[in-house]
Amino acid sequence: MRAISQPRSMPRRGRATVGLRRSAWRRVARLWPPVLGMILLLALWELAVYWFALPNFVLPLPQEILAAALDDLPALWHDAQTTMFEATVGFVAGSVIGFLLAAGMIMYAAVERVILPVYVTVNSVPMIAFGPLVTIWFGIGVLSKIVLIVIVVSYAVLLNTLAGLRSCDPGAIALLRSFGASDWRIMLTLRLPGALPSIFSGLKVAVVHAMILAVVVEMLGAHSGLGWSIYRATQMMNFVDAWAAVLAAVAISLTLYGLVGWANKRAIWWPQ
Amino acid sequence: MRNQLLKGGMQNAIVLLSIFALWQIVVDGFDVPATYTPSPAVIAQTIWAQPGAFAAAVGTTLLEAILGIAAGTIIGIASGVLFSRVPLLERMFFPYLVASQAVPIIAFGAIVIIWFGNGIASKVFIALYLTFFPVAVNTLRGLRSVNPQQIGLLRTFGASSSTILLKLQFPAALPSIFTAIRLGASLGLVGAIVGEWFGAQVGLGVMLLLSMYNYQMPELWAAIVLTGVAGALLFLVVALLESRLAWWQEEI
Repeated sequence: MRAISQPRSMPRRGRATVGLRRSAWRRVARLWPPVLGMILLLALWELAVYWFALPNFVLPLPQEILAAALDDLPALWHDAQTTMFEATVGFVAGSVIGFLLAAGMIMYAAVERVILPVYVTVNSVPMIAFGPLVTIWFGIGVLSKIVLIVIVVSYAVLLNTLAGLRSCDPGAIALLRSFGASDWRIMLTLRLPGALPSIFSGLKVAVVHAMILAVVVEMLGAHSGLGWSIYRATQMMNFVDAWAAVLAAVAISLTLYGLVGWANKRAIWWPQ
Repeated sequence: MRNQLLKGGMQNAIVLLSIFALWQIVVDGFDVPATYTPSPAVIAQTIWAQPGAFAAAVGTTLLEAILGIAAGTIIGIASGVLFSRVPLLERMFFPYLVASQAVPIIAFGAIVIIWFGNGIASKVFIALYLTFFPVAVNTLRGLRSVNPQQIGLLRTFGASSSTILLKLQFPAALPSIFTAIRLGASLGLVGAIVGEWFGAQVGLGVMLLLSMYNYQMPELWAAIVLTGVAGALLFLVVALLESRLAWWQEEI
């Protein structure tokens, strides 16, 4: 037996390394088009500036923006920290509140009947319309931004958690119950894991909303922050700085979104 | 579908009315100062006192949003079709379109104002690109969602690729396109309002900003309520269009 299995394993190992190389190639094949696309876009950008002799308030060169960002890195970092703080604190607090509300609504129907309509009504108005109001009520500091973010994030998480917890197979619930499982037990071992994919899709939407609101509400007034820096820069005709702040907001948002995506992959380890 | 829409509307109206009633009772009962929050009656009186100004604000912002949303939808659908026809183009740029959904692209609005000035054009353009990204992404995804066997069947009957696109792929993609348009409609309104913050003469955004600077609570609340009304109107228009064009779709 051993004698037979020996030669068999040889080509198998060989195939495995070929497969590895092939997957590496496939990754390159998948990656080069977007890279090429980005290079093309950047080239078009540079060429447009040179051809049409665009002044830098119309379109600064990418390297000018980078230079401006590096030139005033401490200030940019200070603004970025404020925006990140607002977005992260609002996101975490809003997620917890939304999740607890959803769990409460599953356990006690009365909570849903009272709270959900109010939530839906408030959120039917585009949230940024409340920006000036929270700025008056809570001042131009970070609190006004966090309050608004908490409302929006908790709403998104609430709806998705509710849908996820409800999507549970009734047969599975009946089975657990017939074995004497309590409501809490069913919630923890069955409903919650089943709801995770839906919860995470809510979290992904919510983290983007959090960044959008942080930046936009800052534009109404703030002590510091990327949105405030964008607003100030455009009012002072300092367009290269405006570009730098916008691109910083983009980078932060992608990072936060990536973190939520990473957490999603770690939390849901079973095949979907 | 239309009945569902009507029923949903009725339910919303009842909830809205009871919230307004409760709000009125709380403000009157506890003597909440109007500088903190005015009662719904005061807000209604504020709007009633100068209907022309408020109508102009809602009209301007809605016009900006609708023009931008319509243009963004058309360009978005066209790009989605183009991407589905030219795979290389799709592989080069589609990842960036998807990534744009995870980014506050509304912040680019500040730069758009520099390009297009304080008039209506800049706000239209902001609403346009905010609508364009989700519509382009969902158009391609919708076109791709068609069962390849159905395409094969049509092809064996000698259908040209444009016939397949028009008769099979596009109808199949419509529900997902409308999902994106609904998202685009709310984003477009937000884009128009934020664009107005950077400089404009008339509009809901101007009204929100000015009443904040001047601490005019009744005017501020009137602008908030009217923004909600404008959003509801946009939503209604999209929902009606959807029930006309994608009538086989059961749920809203």
